[in-house]
Amino acid sequence: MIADVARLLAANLLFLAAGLGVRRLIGSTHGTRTASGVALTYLVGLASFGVLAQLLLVAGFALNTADVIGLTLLLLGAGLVRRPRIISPSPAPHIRGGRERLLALLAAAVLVVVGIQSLYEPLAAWDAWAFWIPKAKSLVLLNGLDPRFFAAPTTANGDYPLLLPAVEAADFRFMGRFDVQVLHLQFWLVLVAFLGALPALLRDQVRPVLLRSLLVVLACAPSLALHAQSAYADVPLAVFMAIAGVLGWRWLVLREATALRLFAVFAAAALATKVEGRLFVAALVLSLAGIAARESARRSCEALAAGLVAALAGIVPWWAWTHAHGIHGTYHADLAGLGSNVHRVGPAGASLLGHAFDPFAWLVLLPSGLAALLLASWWRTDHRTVALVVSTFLSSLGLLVASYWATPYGFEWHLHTSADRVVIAPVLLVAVLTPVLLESVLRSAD
Amino acid sequence: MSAVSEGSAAPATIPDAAVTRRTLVDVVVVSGLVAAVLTAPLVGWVEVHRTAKTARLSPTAASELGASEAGVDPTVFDRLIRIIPPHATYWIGTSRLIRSSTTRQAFPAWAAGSLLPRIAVARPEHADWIVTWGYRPEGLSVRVDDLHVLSVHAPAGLPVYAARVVR
Repeated sequence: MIADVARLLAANLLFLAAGLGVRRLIGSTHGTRTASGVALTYLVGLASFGVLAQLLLVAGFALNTADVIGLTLLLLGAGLVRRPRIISPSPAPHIRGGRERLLALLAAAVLVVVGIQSLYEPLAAWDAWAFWIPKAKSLVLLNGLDPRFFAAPTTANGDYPLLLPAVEAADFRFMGRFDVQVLHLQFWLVLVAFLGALPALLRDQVRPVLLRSLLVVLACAPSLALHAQSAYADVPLAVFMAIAGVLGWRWLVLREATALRLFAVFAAAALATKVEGRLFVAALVLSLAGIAARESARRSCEALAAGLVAALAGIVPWWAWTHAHGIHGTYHADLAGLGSNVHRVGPAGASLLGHAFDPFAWLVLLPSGLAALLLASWWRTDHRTVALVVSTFLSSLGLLVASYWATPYGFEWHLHTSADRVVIAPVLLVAVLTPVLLESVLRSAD
Repeated sequence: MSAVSEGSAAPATIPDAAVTRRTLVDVVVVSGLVAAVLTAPLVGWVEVHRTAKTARLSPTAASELGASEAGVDPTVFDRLIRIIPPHATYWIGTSRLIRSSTTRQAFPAWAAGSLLPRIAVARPEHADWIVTWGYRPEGLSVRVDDLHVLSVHAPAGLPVYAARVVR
């Protein structure tokens, strides 16, 4: 097991190296010279690798160990050719009191026990063993994409994009075998990197206590740890969407051009991770474009262009490959039945909101977000962030409800088996922007 | 002291509205932290309990738990791998005698990953091999030979059959 862990970490070090190159290429200096910056770099590397690995697979590459090393080092090298940007000194570290230390220790302790469990996690979650991990195994054993496997009657959701199987295949290549227990560590790394990366994107905009409380609540939210351990794509998707949300906000409010470029990377990664990514990315891009349109048409077009680039890199090549090989998913929107299935809208919306507001799953993340929205709206402290959060959350939820409304599957079964997972991305998106809203309220009081 | 004031010296005369805003933000932040502090021991206990349980599983049992929980005997696939050559194609079917629809669905789904690099096909006549659970493959639209009967631990003792398609 130790050897497998070491090899999986070696693969992830390469993702980190790729992130270093991509961030330098883009000109991102968020959280530079801090541990949080390293976490963000890792996520950028993972996202970039996953998107480009999907492209390589579509282009006929086997994604063997040499391909993985070559791709990540190429990304690193691409960044090194660009002159580094002058970095402003990082903010002085905040001196923590005893109470804050205790909270940080509590969150760290929860993450450590989740990490240990991830090493022993059995392969028991249905979607993980039924198609996510078999797809990754097929990439290794069939030396790349084999349309016969993806079109096979036993391969569920053959049309789902490839970021996660590509990352898992890279892990398997490095391990030299299919250690499906240790593979769960990959998801823990994503979870920890997510929590670690948030300060790099928010520390200069919100006071530390708001940021730390968000991190503590996220670390202790039972559903986040539970879903991360399932080896499903929902948590990686939600992480990419939440980071994209913060970056989109930075572009919108702080007018950071680099944030929009990084946004495109994470939006592409979300599109390459799971089909729901299309709904969430559409909701976020259209919300950004709509709000930016009030400033200028040019700004609105910038947001749409970022979405287009993300789509061209993250989903279009995969979509073309699946269509060329006659690979179709089993979900086909039943538009003809929409009229007779109106009764589904209410239960679908109620179920999604029920899961999102479930305190045993997400503690008070959404009630806190709602309270922050109400406070910021009432005192009109930050109308753009309010508009972004409300628009993205409601449109994401609306699109999910529409998916259930038009589902060709048994409605109850579909809702029962997926509603708790599909809400992760909208919940995290609201959660990561809650400190921004609270900060605006506090600033108005200063 | 306000939970969000970071100990900064507050001016002596703060308008009421500002105090209200800070208090309300305090309430939001503190309620989140209280929920997290109350939940953390529970989450930790659940994880430790799960680790104590799953660490006892052998690597093989842990990697096959999905099949076992779905009512499929994973050892059948180890035996099928020795019978069906790598890169051969197979058609897989299950009998209605297997009552649980979950188990019926799990059998081909588990085969997808565990029989790789063998690939399933949609029709028996396109397959090199036939794998059936709960009924003999002779009744299908293809002629078969080299029939293997594999005993299964669950459920109801219905065997799995593997046979080569005669071209």
